[in-house]
This record gives sequence, structure tokens and C-alpha cells, in this order.
Amino acid sequence: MKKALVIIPNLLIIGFILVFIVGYANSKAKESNRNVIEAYEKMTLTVDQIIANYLEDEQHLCDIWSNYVNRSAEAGTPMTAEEAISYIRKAKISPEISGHLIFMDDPGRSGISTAEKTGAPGNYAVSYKNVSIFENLDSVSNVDGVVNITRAYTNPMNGIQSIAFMNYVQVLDPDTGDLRTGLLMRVVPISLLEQKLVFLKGEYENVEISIVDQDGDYIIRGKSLKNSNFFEYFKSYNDVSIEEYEHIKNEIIGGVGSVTIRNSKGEECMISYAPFESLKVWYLLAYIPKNDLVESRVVDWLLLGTVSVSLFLLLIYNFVILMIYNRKLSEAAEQARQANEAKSYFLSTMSHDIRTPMNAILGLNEMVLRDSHDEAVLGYSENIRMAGNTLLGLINDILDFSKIEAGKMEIIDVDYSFVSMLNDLVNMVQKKTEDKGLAFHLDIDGEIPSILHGDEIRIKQVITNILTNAVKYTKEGSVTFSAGYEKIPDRTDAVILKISVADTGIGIKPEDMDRLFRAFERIEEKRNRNIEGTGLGMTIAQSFLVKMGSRLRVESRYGEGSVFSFDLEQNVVKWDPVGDYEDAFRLSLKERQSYQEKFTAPQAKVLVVDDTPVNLTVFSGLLSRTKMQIDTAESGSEAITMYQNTHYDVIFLDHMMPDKDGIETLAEMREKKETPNDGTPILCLTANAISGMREMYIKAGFDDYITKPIDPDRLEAMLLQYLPKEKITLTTEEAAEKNAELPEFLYHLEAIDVRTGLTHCGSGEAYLATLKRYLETATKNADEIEKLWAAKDVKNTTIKVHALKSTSRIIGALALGDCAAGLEAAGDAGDTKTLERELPKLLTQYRKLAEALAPLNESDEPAGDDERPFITGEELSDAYRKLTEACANFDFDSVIRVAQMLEAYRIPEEEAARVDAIIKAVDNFDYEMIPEIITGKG
Amino acid sequence: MKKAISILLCISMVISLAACGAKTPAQSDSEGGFAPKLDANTDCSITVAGSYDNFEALEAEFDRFNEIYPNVQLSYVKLDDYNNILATALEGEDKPDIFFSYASMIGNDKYAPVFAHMEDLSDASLGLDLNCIRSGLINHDAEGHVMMVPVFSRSYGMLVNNDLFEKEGLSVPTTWTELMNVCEAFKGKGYASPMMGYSQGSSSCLMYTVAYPMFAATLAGNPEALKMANDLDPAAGEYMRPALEAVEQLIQSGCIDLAECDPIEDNYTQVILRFFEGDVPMMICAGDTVSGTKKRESQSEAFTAAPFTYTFSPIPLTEEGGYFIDSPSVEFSVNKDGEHLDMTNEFMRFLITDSELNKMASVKRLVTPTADLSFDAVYAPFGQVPSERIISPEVLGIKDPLTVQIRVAAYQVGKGEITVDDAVAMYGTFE
Repeated sequence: MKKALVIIPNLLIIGFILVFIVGYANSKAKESNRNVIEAYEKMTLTVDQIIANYLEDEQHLCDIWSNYVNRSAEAGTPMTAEEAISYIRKAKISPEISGHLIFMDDPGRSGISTAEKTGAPGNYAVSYKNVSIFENLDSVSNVDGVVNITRAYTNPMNGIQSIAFMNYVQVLDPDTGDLRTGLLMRVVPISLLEQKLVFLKGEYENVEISIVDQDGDYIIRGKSLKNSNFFEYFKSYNDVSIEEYEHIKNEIIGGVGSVTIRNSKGEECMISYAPFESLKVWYLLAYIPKNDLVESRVVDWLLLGTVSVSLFLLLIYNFVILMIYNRKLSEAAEQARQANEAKSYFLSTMSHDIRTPMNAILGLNEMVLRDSHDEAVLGYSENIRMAGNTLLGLINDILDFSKIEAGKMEIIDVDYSFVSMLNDLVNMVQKKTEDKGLAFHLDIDGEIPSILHGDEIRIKQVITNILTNAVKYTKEGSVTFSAGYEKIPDRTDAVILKISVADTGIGIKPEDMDRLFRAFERIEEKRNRNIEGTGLGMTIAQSFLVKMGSRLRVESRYGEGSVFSFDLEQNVVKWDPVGDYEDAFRLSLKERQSYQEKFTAPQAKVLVVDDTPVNLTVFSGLLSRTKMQIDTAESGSEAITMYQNTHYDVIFLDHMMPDKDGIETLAEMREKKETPNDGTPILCLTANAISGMREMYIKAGFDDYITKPIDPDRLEAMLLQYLPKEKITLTTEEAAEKNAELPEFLYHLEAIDVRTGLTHCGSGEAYLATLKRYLETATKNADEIEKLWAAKDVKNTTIKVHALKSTSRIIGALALGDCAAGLEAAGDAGDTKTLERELPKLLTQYRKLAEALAPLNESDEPAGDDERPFITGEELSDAYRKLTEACANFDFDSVIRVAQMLEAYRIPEEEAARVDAIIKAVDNFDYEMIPEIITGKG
Repeated sequence: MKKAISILLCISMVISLAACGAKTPAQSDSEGGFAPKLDANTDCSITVAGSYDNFEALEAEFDRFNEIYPNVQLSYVKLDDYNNILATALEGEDKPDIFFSYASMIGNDKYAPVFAHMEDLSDASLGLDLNCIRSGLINHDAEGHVMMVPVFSRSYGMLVNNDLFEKEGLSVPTTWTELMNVCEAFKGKGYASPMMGYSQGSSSCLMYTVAYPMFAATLAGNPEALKMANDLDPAAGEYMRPALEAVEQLIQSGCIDLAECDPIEDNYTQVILRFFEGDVPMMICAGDTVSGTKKRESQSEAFTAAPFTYTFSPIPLTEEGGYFIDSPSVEFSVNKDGEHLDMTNEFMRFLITDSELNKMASVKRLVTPTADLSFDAVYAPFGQVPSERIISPEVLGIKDPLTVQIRVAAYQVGKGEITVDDAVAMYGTFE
């Protein structure tokens, strides 16, 4: 597992937890902050009220002064300025507070102060000439309770920053005796106002109270606020749009609330604001660093840090543990990989090693099948062939599966003929269905394009697996193979192939459907134990289809049958339709029934290279009837020498050879120039049957490849492809001619299967000869059996019946043979009743057959030379010996087989009469005479 | 495993770097090169009194000083009627520790009580780096004491709209002839008054700004004439003639159209805002006016909409160029009777350095009193004036009454109220 897959999700989870903690804490902090800010705003309002009260009080005291002065004037006893100031000196309590009475109509705005000028004892004259604090003088009102106040200014008498509460008074001008309006000012140091705010220090240590007028000019300024104007200050350190600036300005002048701004150091601070309701022109600003307000925030950095560190430690711990386990897993995986490699190696070796002896087994068996006329031997041999082929199929399945498992299975698309593929499939399944007595139906859409592009081999393998399965699991009924297609909208280069195989087999239970595609699983194992297979077929088919972008579908009714189908997109190379395939198939089937070896090529010269002598023997044997000149070599080096010296039409080269393998040999051969074999096709002969090998060999430089065990048909087909045409004489016509020599009536005889007879006899000529001998001896044999039975000689009757069984089967009289076999068994069992009842029937059939074959005596001898091979002296002596032993042991089956073997050879003249006598004795079931005939030889 | 270790290392590195990023105040202190002499935890209040309505540049210095001495509460207080109240304030209970002082106070008896409170800042024990200030700006009294240290200097010149020159394909003039030609070219391109300035009153009027540097230059090479001029000897009137003729010529040639200038209502904000309109190639003004430009850039809708580059240059009154009248603007004096004199001196020691004075001048956009003028591109042209054309009125000994004569004379000549000859003859009578 990639480490990132562990680390990233863990980090994401850690991140999520931290984000959640921060988010949650922040939301709590925001809530807490809101509460704190609300409390702060409330404090501002409280301060606002305190200051307003204080200012009103101070104004009230100023009003008391002015009222007293004015009452005097109203009473007709106006006070002079001196008297008024004198009164105020007495009336005021606080030494810091002073009273100024000035006359605004005086150019120097001069007057008298209650306190003397600092540094100038005795000087009470005060002048406000250069102090601009009277801009709002017009609004000064004598109405009680209305605060008339100046901004903070420098008291001209002592240089102390102060504010003044004002009211007009009427005083007597001693010079003129007139009343004169003076402005009475109660001058209060700012520090006194600031003292009122000391109480706040406990709760908000760093709070700074400022008071501004409606222009933002400070009346009182906290130390952190810069500039002489709050709004200028705000603008200097806060980058805001004009609209935002105006909005904040309007909020502060007249509104109640708070705003966060940046101070001159760029730090966030909170300004809470409220107007002085009674003054209308002043506004309170409470400044505090934002951190002071939000220090009680809920985000507990210690907690966050601890959680973070813990989570990281946990991650590291988990990671370390994971690493340890990963290491162990890696070791285990490495072991598994090595085991798998060993398995692959084993499979590869097995492929070769099993297939090599299989080549010998099947090849030699094929020769037995061809050359033997003994029914029993043929039966055994046929079983060997079937078992061998089954074994090969199993090996192939296992190899394919191992390749799929290793992910080495590749899809290799090529152009292919759909008809050709169908032929292969149908030929394969036709035989199997016939053998099993099943009907095989074809439903091929004639419009399917003839040349498609796709992985022909895999598709064929998939369909073969499905068809094979269908046949395997169908006891009776039919197998139907359907192929259709569908056009793809908006595409002209591809079609969807629709393949389905329906059978009337045992079907699959719904609950077993899931197990269908599991490797090595066989459904209803107990019930199907007799059916061969690895349980890999469907898995392989499904894997191939998935690889090709499709899936295998299954519809099944248990006990009624199944339909396996799939759709597969295939590119179209040629849109020509395949036509009526069923007709074509029927025709080819008919042709095939009379098929024999494909050709002879006595002029052709072939070199076969294989390190295993038996394989060379098999190869030569399989091709012996083609009469080709076959040279053999047991090593690459030997082959190269022959390659340089002799011209060959085709060279078969084994892959796995000691010292110099096939590929190396091939490379060396190709490197040699000006040899007799420039351009000679070299085909790979290999037991390496793993799928995909063909591509590998073609890539290596071989012209083609054929696997061991050698399929004789494929070998002949391949030779037909690669041998020079002028050296080939196709034997199909010859055979047809030969077969045509068989009288036509034979094909219409129900009692005889000509094909079986031909197979057993090897050629039409031999078959005809055998039939004639059968006919010649039939009447005599029938009579003898009747005679023996009449004498109740059960033993000899049984012997004769046994001989009849064998000869009948050889000529293809299968029903008669079966009947004879039944009576032979009855005879062996001493079942005289059955003999009594059935023997006449057998003899009737026998005689009927003889009658039916009677026209053979009328036909001419077939034309043509005896092409049978000469028997060697050794072989003949061996045959005589076997016959003598068989007769002594009453092994008449062996006697018949040896006799048939002798018939397959041309006998030297001096022994011909003896052999004929022996054959006749056999035909007449006169086995006891045979030793004498042989002995007579002397 | 390697990946895991790498991740852990990265995390620890990030954490370490984050930790490194958090600077302590002490670290940043030492970066500035200022070594505190007093206990950093000293708790006291220091007040600076002055005539500026606001002094953010100084307040920024307070903040910086607080990084070293966090418990020192510094505040700036504007005193109303500063010149009259200063002496009283220095005597009062709330006496400032540092206060503004001006060169014009020297020799004026009215300020004798103020001088009585001043500390001698040349005292070596204070450790002030007076060498960082251009020597022509520092006034030593008869005893060699330095009672006031300039924190800004003042000069006279013109704001130049460089983009406009570039747009019209003209170069900023460096000689009188070039100035005339440039003005002619601008007029030809439809600019009614290529040079403008404040002309409604004599204080800081454009005529004085043009005339004073030339008059000072005339006196600089002639001690006798300077003495006569300082003594308001009418004979010294003749020395004003070149300066007054220059004023007259600029107006008469159409370089300055007073009808265009008259709507400018004050010699500070309105001058700046008019310049920011963008159609004035050269705006005659004093350095004090230039100090308001930075803040008003954002207040000018025209400038915000179409910003341009500008510099402050000497007016090229001669074929050799213009003059750099280098005189102190605001100076700081220390109240030797202040309650926290040690910390006050510590603050002065902190402030009177190249870097802090330059920073303060930069914020305030005034001419720095230090030798390096290049830190502010606006003043850079003054940094290029050769030393022989730099005139320090304080060094020369130009006294305040003299400046009144040239100011009023230039104003009246410029306005056409009197002729140059009249003005020359009237020297010593202008008020």
C-alpha cells in the first residue's frame, strides 16, 4: 500500500479535527466577543452618561455664577466685572478651576481672571485674542441646563489644557455706567475630566476616552489616537473607500455602536462611540486595543496545540506500526511473489515437459489409430486420443489462467475471417455433439461482415469454452450456436457481435450463478464429478471478455438448460456478408465425411529439428503417408549444418533444446547468406503452449508455429500452406476417386457404416477387399454357427460369434457387431436361453448382410497398384509368432488383429500363399488351423 | 520511512521558522542601532508642546520609542497662541518637557523666559548626535551652546508636474533662460499661467518665495550689505533690486498670471489642491506647503483620478540655476526644568539621528535637516544643488526684520502696487 494512502487521509482527518476545533472555538469566541463588545458598548454609554452628567454639573455651576451676576443686574444693582470675578473667586471651591470674564466686543477679547497669570504675580488680565475657541459662540444659551462648552484649549493664564463652560452675564461698565455683556467662563482643566474616568481602569486597563466635536476634532484625546482630528487619523491608517469612510463618519457622529479600526501601528482596535445627548456637538469615543477585548476568546491555543501534537504523535505511532506491518507484509508478499514465480516457472516447465511426452503419446497414438485395424486397439487408442486431448485442454486452461492471474494476458487484435473462425468452432463442437448424440443447431446471421478486426484467438477460445461447457453439461437434446450482429449508430467502422450458445443441459441453480465465474469452482461438483474440467473455463472466458470490454451473460433454468451470451464490439475490415453459413457448413460436412489425408508430396523435402528422438519419430510417422522426404536433426548445430548444405522446402525447429535453442538456431540460420535455404519458411515446433506464444515466435523471426503434441490435421494444413504448390498432389480428389470405386449401394446399406469401415481399414481398397472376404466367408460361417449351435457346442458357438462380432465391426456393420457381442456375452455366461432366442436373429441379419453385399462379387477388381508397404521378414516372423501364441491361448481377438495387420502389408511372393491361407482361416473362424498353416511352413 | 522523517522534519522546520518569525521588541530595538541608557521599564510621561495642530510624524516616533521604553507615555500637545503662551506654559504646573522653538526667537527679548528654560543640547554628556544635522542649520549662541535642534528645515522653490512636462515634450528648466523658454512654450500650448502660487496676502506669497532666495544670495557675498540690510538701512534697498526685478519679469512676461493665482485662497491646502488639478506645470511655494502634499493626494479627486509624479525644485533664478535656502523650520528645545529630564534627553538622543529625523521628515514630507536628501524623491532636486548655491540664512546672520522687508516689497511689486524703484527706496519702511 502506498504510504501516501495512509498519510494523506490521516493528515486530512487531523486537519479536519483541528479545523473543527478552531472553527468551533472561533464560533464560541465570536459569540463571546460579541458579548464582550456589547458590554464594552454599554460601558461607553455609562461613561457617556457620567461625562454628560459631569459637564452638565459644571455648566450648572457656571450657570449659578452667571445667574447670580445677572440677577444683580436684573435687580438694578449690576456688578462690575471686578465684582463679578470677586464673587466667583469666593464662590468657587476647587483651586484648579478658574473663572474668566471677558468681553467679546473688545478687540483683544480681554477680561479678568479669578487666578493670576503663572509667572506674573498680580496679573489677572486675560486675553483670548489668539485663542480660537469661540466659533460656536452664537449658540451659547442662557437657558439653564444647556451646556455651552469650548473645545480643549490652552488656558492663557497658566498654559494648562482646559475646557470652559460659558454663559453671558450683564455687568456694569464703570467707565460708562452702562451695562455691558460679558462672557463668563468656568475654566476647568482637562485633567479633572480625565479623573472622572479613572474608575474604568479596573475593568478596561487600556481604555482611552476621547471626545470629539462634530468635525472629529478632539476635545479630549486619548494617547493612542493621533492627529488633531479623529477622522484624519482614521483615514491615515485605514485604507477605506470614500463611501466606507463617509459611512463610518456618519455612524460615529450621531450613532451608538462600535467599529474596529487599525491604529497607527497597524493593530486592530475597537472604537465604541456614543453622542452626548445633552451637548449635541460632542461625541464620546472609547478606544481599546482589540486584543484586550477579545483576550477571553475561547480558542484555547494550549488545547489546540496539545491536540495537534497528540494527533501527530498518534499519526507517527500509527505510521511506525503500519511500517512494521508493511515490512512484514512486504516480506510475505515477496515470499508469495517468489512462490508465484516458482509457480509460473513450474507451469512453464510443466507446459513444456508435459507436452513433450504428450507429443510422443498422441503422435504415436495417432499412428496406431491410422495403422491398426484391431477394433479393440482402435478403441483403446481412441480413448487415449480423447484423454490426451482432454489433458491438453486442462493444461491449456491452467496456463491461460496463470497468465491472466499474472496480468500478462494481452489482447492482440488482427484482421480475421469470421467464417474461418466459425469453421474452426463448428468443426470442433460438431464432433463433440455427434459423439454425445446431441443435435447441433446453427443460427448464423448471413449479413455478418466477413472480415473483422479483433483478437480472433481469444474470441475463439471464449466461444470454444462456452460450447464445450454446453456439450459437457448436456446429456440429451441440443446445443444451439447463434451469431448475429448489430450496427453501432454513427459508426461505420465497427459492429457489435452478438454471440449466444443455448443448450438443453442441466442448467444452473440461481444460487449457483455467483460461483459460475469463480476460478476452480465447479457447480454441483457431486453431480458432475464425471465431467472433466478444471473449473477454469468460464473464469477464463469472462476474463477475456472483460479484457475486450464485454461480459458474459448467463440465463438458466435449472433442469431445462442455459443460454450463455455476450456482445462484443469488433471493427469491420470488410463489410461483405458471410452469406448462408449453414448451407456451406452442411456441404463441408458432407465433404468431410469422405476425407482422408490431404496430400502427398514425394518431391518435397522437410527438415525437422528436435532434441527428443521420439518426437522425430512421431513427426516422421505422422507424415509418412505424405511420402515427403523427411530429414531429422537432434540439435541446433546439426540443423544449421544441414541448413547450409541441403535445400528444404520447410524447416520445423524445436524451441527448447539444450546448447542452442530454437530461437538461437533460427537467428544463426537467418544470418547465413547464400544457403540453399534462403527464403525457406522456418516454423517453430514447440511444447510451449502458453497463450500469446505465437506472437512471441513470430516476433522472434519464425514464419509460423505449431505446438506439441502435434495435431496431425493442423500439421498437414500448415504444410499445405508452406510447401511449394508444384510439389503437392492433393489427395482429396484421389481419395474421392478411390471412394468412388466403392460401389454406390454400400452407402445406402443401413447395416453398414462405410465411414467406420474406411477408418478401420485405412483405405477404400483395403475396405473393399475386407468386405469381399467377409462376403466370401459369410455363408459358410453362418452355416457353421448354426451347425455348432444345433450340436449344442456352446463354447465353439461363442468363439464363432466372437469372431463375427470383430469382423462385423471392422467392416462397419456395427448393429450386427453389437448383436454378436451380446450373444458372445450370453455364450460366455452359459445363457443358452438367450442364444436360443437371439442366435437365429443374428444369423438372419448376417445372411441378410451377405445378401446385401452380394453385388460385390459382381463388381470388377479395383484399378490401381498395390500401394501397401512391403512387410519385412522380421515383422512377418513376429506376426507368425504372435498368431501361434494367440491361437494357443484362444485369444482370437489378437489373432484377428494380427491378420488385419498382415493385410495392411504387401507380402513377399514366397509367403503370400501362407498369409492368404491364414487370413482365410481367420475369416472362416478356423483358428485351430492357423498353427498348422504356420507350422507347415516348416 | 524516509518520507515520514522528511514530513516530520518539514513540520518541525515550519514550526521553528514560525517561532523565529516572532520578533521580540528588544531584537528590533537593537536593529536601529540605538542603545538605551536608562532602565527600559522606566515609567513616566513626557509631553512635547508645539504649534502644529497635529504632529503624526512625531507621534510615530513616540511609538517607535515605546518599543524600547514601553512605559514611557509620550504625548504631543498643541498650545493655543503658542508664541505667547509658551513662556507661561513653561512656568505652569503642566510644563512641557520638549517644546517647539524657532530661529526667529533668537535675539527676541520676548522669548527670554523661554530661553531661560532651554537646556544646552551641545552638552557632550547628553550624547546627542548633532553632526547628523547639516551644520548650516544649527545655531550656536555666543557661548557655543545649542539651545534648539532643528527637526525640519524649510526652503523655497516650486512644485513641478513632471508628467505634464513629459506630456508636452518639455524639460524641467535649470536656468533662467530655460525657465523663460519653457513658460513661453507652455503658454503657446494654452497654459494660461505656467507658474502659479499663492498671491492673496504677503505671508508665504509666491513673490516672496521667488524674491527671498535671490535677495539672500545677493547679501551672502557681501557682509557689509548684510549688516546694512539687517539694520534696515534704506541704502540696503538696492540689494533687493535683482530679486524684485525677477519677480516683476516673471509676472510681466506672463510666466505668472496673477488673475489665475488670485482664486487660491490660502498658502497651504488650496495651493496643493490647485496643483493637484494637474494643469499647473510649476507651483511656487515653500517647503512647508510641500509637507501637506502627501496627505492631500487622496483628498484631491482630480489627483486620485489622474495621479502624476511631481518634485520640489529650486526656482532657476539665474543662468547658473536656483538657490537652496537652507533654514531651519521647526526646532526642538528641551525644558531643563522638566520632571523627567533624563528620559527627555534619552528621547532626544533617540530622535536626533539620521534615520529617525529622515523618517519623521518623510512622514511629514518636510525637508529633513540631515545631510541626506535623497530618501524622499520629491526633494531629490534640492540634493543636487551644488554647495556654493546653498545658503543658510542662520549662518549668514539674516534676521527676521530683513525678511519682512523683502516679503512686503516683493508682494507689492508683484501686485503692481509699487515699482521696483519705489520698493528699493522704501527699504526699512515695510511692515
